[in-house]
Parts: sequence; structure tokens; C-alpha cells
Amino acid sequence: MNGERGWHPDLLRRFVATPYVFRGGAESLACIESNDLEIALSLWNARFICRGQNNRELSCKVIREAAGSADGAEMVVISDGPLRVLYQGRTILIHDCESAEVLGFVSSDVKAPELVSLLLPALFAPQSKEFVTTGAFTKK
Amino acid sequence: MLSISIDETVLPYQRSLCFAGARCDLRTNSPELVTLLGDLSISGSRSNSSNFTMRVVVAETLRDGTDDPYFRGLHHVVIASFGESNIFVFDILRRTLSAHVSGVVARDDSFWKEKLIPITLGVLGAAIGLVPVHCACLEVDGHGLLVAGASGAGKSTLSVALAQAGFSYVSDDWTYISESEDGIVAHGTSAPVKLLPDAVRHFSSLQRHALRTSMNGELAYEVDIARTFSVRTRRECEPRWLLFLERTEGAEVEFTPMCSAEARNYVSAGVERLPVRLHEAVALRERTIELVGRLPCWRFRYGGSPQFAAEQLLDFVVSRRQEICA
Repeated sequence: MNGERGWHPDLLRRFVATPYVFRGGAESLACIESNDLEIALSLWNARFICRGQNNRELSCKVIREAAGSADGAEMVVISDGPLRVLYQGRTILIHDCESAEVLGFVSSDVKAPELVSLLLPALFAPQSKEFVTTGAFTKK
Repeated sequence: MLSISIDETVLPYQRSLCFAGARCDLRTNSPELVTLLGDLSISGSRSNSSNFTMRVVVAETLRDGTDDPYFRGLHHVVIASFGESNIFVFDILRRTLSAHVSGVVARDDSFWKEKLIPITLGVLGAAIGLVPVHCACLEVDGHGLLVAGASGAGKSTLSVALAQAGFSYVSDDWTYISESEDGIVAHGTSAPVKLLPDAVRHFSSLQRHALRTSMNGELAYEVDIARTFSVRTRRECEPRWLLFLERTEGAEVEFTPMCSAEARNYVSAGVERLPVRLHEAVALRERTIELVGRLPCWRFRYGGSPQFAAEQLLDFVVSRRQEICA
């Protein structure tokens, strides 16, 4: 068996297809994948610049959930070593600063601009010197 | 925004634990949680060399109990939450579990025993050399019997009947298999046995217990098998045989040999698909599945009561043991 067989249920939604892919050039070392064009474009337009360890390319994979609501849920951010996780309702964002990855699931009621201007900055806050954007993010 | 930094400087209590043969280094700020998990820890005689780290921040001021579970995962990270206050972050590559829980959950023995520990072994299993196999496991005179079958085939009911017939009970639903120097070892956890409502027809002692909704939404009896049925339990054994259960209408039994490919396919189908980047964990898992597939394997069709099937199985195992000894 390898990781590609199709008959396993994808209970964690690990293998949701992400057809919208943007890969950056010299200025923006980013690779952005999503199943939602609005999210992919918003992330792309925010123009991540990664200055993480070893100048590794920032990989960003964000899945739009079909359901779910923040519904007044408190935002919780958990940091442990290289991992930082933002959790709010059915929105989960993960930043692995060692592997320079952002992974996440965004609930259906969260608009892409809110993701870019509010949630991702909250996820990145302690590493703000490493992650700077030239777009919608406030440069710190 | 609630910001939680899980740093070893704020987690002064630590303890080395063992679950299904895997060593767990626990760090937490709650002495009660250390005691609770210490009581659930099983010091296996054949614990494997792999380990994982569990760091748990307990927010004593939060009184929230557990809510419905919610799981998501991408690449090497899996998140499990049980309400807003109880969040678990699994990092499969680094073999860590970072968690934030309420004071109520930190003291909820059944939550850790029935949910969190089995979930942890399932999620981190591939990285720590454990393959979760959807089967029951029983042992007699050092010989382990894996009893596989689809949900509803009667694994748990037959497990109780076999335990009453003289087998030692290891597990009834999920068994964790690891490699050892001379083969494989099957591990159970301290999770309760789960019996569907109609099991009360076969086991009258269940009448003293209440049905409750289990994690998958089924109504079931979830009971401690040793206390409820006064039977022997073991935490691990060396599997010798693998049986696939199939129910038939009449009171009859039939043993049919199966090929190892079918056994391998069954085990493979039950494990979670992993991303390509976890290829080392996948390779480790494949090797163990291959070893499980080498076990002598039969299809066991049976009808009638679980006690009748248990008697037939006991005769079968006795004859197989004689073959091994001969």
C-alpha cells in the first residue's frame, strides 16, 4: 500500500483537491494552494515574503470548508515549538515555522479578506519579523 | 484572543508512561493529570523503542466538559477538538501531542481512557511503530488470536464469550500491532469493551449497566470487561492466528483457510491513508502489515450463540496448538 490508494476514507479531509495553485517567482517565494479561488487569490495578492529558516519557500495550503461557523467562538492560538495553531469555530490554521508551511481549514462564513487581514496576522504574530507582507498585511 | 504557549518551563510535572508498548513522555502543569494518566499507563514487558511526547496545558479555571469531536489534518499535523477549550495538536513527523484542556477534562478518567489515548495511538501510530488493526485480540497459554471482521460481525460479543470460555482478553475492537525481535506483538489499551444493545440477550450481567451513546454515535454498553464479567485480561500477546468473522443464519461453524494477501488487504484497508511526505512511517507500517499477513489465517463462519461459537473456537485453537507443539 502507498499513500495514494483511493479506497481509504478521508476522514480528516487531508486529501481534498486543491486545483488553484499559485507559485511565486524571485520576489515572492510562495506556493499557494486552495480549493477556493477567492482564498488562493487573496493569499496571492497579500504577497507573502518568507524569511524563514534557510530561506525556504513558503508553502500555503488552505481548504475552504463547505460548512461550519465561527458563531462567536473565541479565537485560541496554541504555540508549541515550531508549531503555532489558530483555532476558531471550524477554522483551523497551522503554521510550521521550521518547514515554512501554512496549512488550514477555513469555515464557510469566513471571508477571504478576513482570513488575510485578521486571522493570518494573528497566526503569525510572534514570528512577525520573519513573515512580512507587502499587501493586505500590516508590515511590522 | 486566548494565546497559549506550551513551553516546558510552564509544565513542571513530568512522567514517563507507556501505552500499547509505546513510551510516552508526559509534561503538564497538572499533578492530577499525571496521576490519572499514570493509572492508565501500562508497563508492557515488550515496549518498543519508539516514543512520543505529550505536552498538556490544563486551564483549571475552565469548567467546560467535552463536546462532539472534530478532526482535521493536513500533511503531518492533525487537530482534534472536543469543544472550544479542549484542543489537541498532533505532529506526526515530530511525534508530539500538544494540548490545551479544561480542568474538568483533565480529571475525566473516561475521556482519556476511552477517547484520547486510542485516538493518539491511532494518529501517531504510524510514526511510533504501531499499526492499529480493526480486530479483537484474545490469548490462551501465550498464543494470541486476532479476530477480525466488519463492524457488527460480533467481534466484541464473541470476545466476551471467549474470555468467559477461558481466553484472556486483550482487546475487542482495535488492537495495536508492533514489530518485535522475533515477530509481532499485539497490544490492547484500557478502553472498555463496547457491546451493542442486543448483547444483553447473551450476557445477563449487562442488565446492571446503562446504554449510552458511544463516540461514533452508536447506542452501546461500554463496560470494563474484567469487572463486569470477572474474566482475565492481558495487555499484550504474540498473535499466532488471524480469523475473519462472518455470521450465518444456522447454528453451525465453518473454518476456511484464507490466503495472506486477503489478510494484508484487510489490515491495509483499515489503516488511515497518509500523505506521501510521511513515507518513512508508511514504510514502517507496511513492514508490520506484511508480518500480520503471514499469520495463519481462516475465515470463521458461525451462527448461533456467541457461547456456542466460543466453544468451537476453543476446540479449534487447542487443535492448532497441538500442531504447533508437534
